[in-house]
Amino acid sequence: MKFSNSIFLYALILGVIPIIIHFLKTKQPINEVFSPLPIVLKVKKRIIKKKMIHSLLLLILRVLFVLISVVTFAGMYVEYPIEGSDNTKRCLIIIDNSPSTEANIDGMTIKDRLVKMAEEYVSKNSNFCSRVTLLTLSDNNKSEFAIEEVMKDGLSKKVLRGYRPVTFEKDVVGLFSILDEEKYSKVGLFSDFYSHFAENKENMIQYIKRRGIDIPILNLPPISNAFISLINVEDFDERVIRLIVSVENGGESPFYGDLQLYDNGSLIERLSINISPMDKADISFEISGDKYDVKEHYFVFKLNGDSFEYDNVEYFYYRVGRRGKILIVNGEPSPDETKSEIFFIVNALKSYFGESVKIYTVLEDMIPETPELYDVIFLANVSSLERLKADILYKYIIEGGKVFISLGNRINIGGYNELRFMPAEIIGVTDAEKDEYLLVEDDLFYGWRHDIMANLRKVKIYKYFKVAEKERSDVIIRTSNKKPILISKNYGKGLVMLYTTSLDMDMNDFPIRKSYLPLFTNILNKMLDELFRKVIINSNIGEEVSFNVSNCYEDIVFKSDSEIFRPNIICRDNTSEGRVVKFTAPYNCGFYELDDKDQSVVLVVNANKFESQMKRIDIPAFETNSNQKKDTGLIVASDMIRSGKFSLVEFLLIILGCILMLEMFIINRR
Amino acid sequence: MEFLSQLKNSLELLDEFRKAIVESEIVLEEILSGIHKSKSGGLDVEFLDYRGYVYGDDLRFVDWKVFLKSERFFIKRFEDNKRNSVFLFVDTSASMFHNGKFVKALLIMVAIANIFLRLKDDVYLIFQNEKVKVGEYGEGYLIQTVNDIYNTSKEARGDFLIQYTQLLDIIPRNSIICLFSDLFSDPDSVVNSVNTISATGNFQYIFHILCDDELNPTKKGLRLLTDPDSDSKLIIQCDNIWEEYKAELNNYINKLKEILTFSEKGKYILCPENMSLRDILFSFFETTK
Repeated sequence: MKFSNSIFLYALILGVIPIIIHFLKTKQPINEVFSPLPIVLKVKKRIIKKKMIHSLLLLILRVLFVLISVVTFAGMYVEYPIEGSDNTKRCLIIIDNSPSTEANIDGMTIKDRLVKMAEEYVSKNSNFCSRVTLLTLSDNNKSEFAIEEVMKDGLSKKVLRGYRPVTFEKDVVGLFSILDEEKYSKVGLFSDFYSHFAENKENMIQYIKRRGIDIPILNLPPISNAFISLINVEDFDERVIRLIVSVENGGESPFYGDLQLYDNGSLIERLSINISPMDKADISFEISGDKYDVKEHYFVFKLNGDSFEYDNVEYFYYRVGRRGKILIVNGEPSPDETKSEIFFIVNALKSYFGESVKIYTVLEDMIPETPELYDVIFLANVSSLERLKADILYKYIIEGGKVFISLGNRINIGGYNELRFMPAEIIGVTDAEKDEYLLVEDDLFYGWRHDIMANLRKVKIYKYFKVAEKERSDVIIRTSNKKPILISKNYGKGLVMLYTTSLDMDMNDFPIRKSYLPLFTNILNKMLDELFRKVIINSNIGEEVSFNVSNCYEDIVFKSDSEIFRPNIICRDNTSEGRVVKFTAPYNCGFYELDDKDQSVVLVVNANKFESQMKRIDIPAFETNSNQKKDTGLIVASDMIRSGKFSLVEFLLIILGCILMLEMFIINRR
Repeated sequence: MEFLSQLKNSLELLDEFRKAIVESEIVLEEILSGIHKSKSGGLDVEFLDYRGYVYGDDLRFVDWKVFLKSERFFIKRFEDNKRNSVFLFVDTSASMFHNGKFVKALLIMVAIANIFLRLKDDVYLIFQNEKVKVGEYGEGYLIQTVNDIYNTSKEARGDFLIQYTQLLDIIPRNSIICLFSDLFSDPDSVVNSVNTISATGNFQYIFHILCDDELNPTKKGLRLLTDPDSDSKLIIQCDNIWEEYKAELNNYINKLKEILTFSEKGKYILCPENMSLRDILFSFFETTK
């Protein structure tokens, strides 16, 4: 008999409580002379004995109740052999098949050496092993074989290549729980014990050995092992990205090799490096000029020169200009800055966004031919657009650009109506009615504070342009007479907003109202949303990744240039933050993108954890819900039966019920 | 019997003995009034005692005077004018000295002795395996002897069962024995002794003296009970044992009654605490042969 939560067994000491209570409750008898004692003695055998037996039975039942309760919580179970296996003569062979064991040293891989040593170990201990359980660390694969089969066929074909690096602190020490649950006559661990952080290697080996695990020594010649330990990035306003890569040599031999930088699949630069044993070097790359103008960079770093290939490649995603860039085209410049069309909006945005947005202003004649450098473009009271500029802007919008158009007394209505990206057709300017006020009608402002909505009503509109909404356009703000004031429409990947009154105070007193700043910061947040929405998650190979999402689909597909990755998604409810998606990062390293209307994710596999934007859910915390029953000792019987264990918890609960009933019966009979 | 246990001195006790004799005189007077020699006066026959009327008895022998006084039918019995030897034995074991049982036993004994003396029988008091004949020197001597028994027994208590069994060594066969005791010894041994004495032709009057606490115990809770005779002790939870106790006590009494009635060699008279001496004496007469 075994216990899934043996810690509860300490509570067995509670069994003395009924005994203590029994003795505490035992009163001192009253002394008395009683002549008819001989008569009493005649009935004593019948009555007194019965009473004593009742008391004793009650005491035993109460002690039993406490003990069985404790044993129930400890999760008692019995093991039975599966498929006729003999528990007493089982051996466990643990082989490290992590990527580091693929290193070829002197014509033979480390994995082959380990397998050969394991075979010799089995052969040597064949008297102790009727069956051999083989556990490979990287893929955590467990299988059992007859000793004859292992002796005849060997283990090499049974140990497959693993892609997940092994962490000794977690993986090997985690094996101890297996040894606690299952009995093996011999346990052997075969590993190169290669780790980037090898300082504790000897201590680790000694620690494992103390648990009765045999660790045959693998003698390897001195080798070098370089790996990228850190990637840092500096983005300068002078259009230069500087990448600083830390390369460490964890081996006992000097590293002579080179580091190559690829961007979007093209080789950018190759640098030769030499690193002493147990030393590191910082390598710097600069991306500037045209290369800087590319907004998204898919950097790949490749090291050449050592035998350990698995840690020679790192992937790094970087997006240039993460700060929002806003271009305001001023159609009504004035020598007096305070009378400028854009004075209010520029100051409002700067006060709210600070350094997270960069605002550029130009005159209407100076609209740049590279609008894609900007995330949002404001056209403020621009009289008209040349055809060429209009086409450039249209292309910019189709490809994801955002344009905000505000009208004014300088605009050419006909010219505007010819534009291909107008959300509405302009009819003409009109005076607002005396008591006309503004109403917000769009979900964009859902959750806006009530007092701001109330303040919006106080805004006085003197004039506005009558417009006719186009199909599939959304009116965000109307007047109380149902006349549109702010209209939006999607074109391609982009978005256009039309403000039918002036951005300054020519046609309204909005800029001096309290609701001015909140309204425009909300509008700009929506327009910059795409920029800030794209999130990056960096993971190691085979790592369990989990993060919050608004919607979780089990058929999520991550795409990369060369392949489609369909992770085995598990969706769970996370009561505080919506849904949680969990999956294992793929072994094939690289960049994977998920572009969905709700989620835009770049998954970078085999990357260090630099600049990961995604909030990660701690895996043990994530697993708590599913394992909660086990933690309390009430193990699902079917789970245990599958694993060759039979839970006695239900049986014990029945016994507890019987004890309670028996106790009631005896108490009534007293 | 509470007042009996509170008697302060022997003078008070002597006074109680005298009252018992007076009581017995009254009862006897009531019973015997109208008694005379039979018509066959020439024969040496004499009134022996009364017994209860049973169907078939000759109505000539019903004592109508007694009937008028007591509203009970008594049949006068006559016997050869022959003196009986009556031996009165009082239990001096330690248990008798609780709740005034011993004094009560002595009072009954005095009254019964007086009755037998009035009937011209030879009356002996048995004490410490010796028999002391009383009556020859008047009732004063009877009282003095009983008082001596009282005083001696306070100092030296005896084992009732042994002494009672040894009676056979000192009394002749076909005697009348009056036993005054609570009979608290091993029930089976007591039954055997009574049976043995009956078997030897003796007639036994057993006055079973019990106090209320022994007839109907009401003790509750955990008690350490001590038997004053054997000094044996028993710890017992007393809450619900008394029903079985009473059943066992009744069983014991019934066994004694059975022995005496079956052999027609005796009479069992239960003397509970609240039963007066007068009633006890009437019980004595009720079915006395």
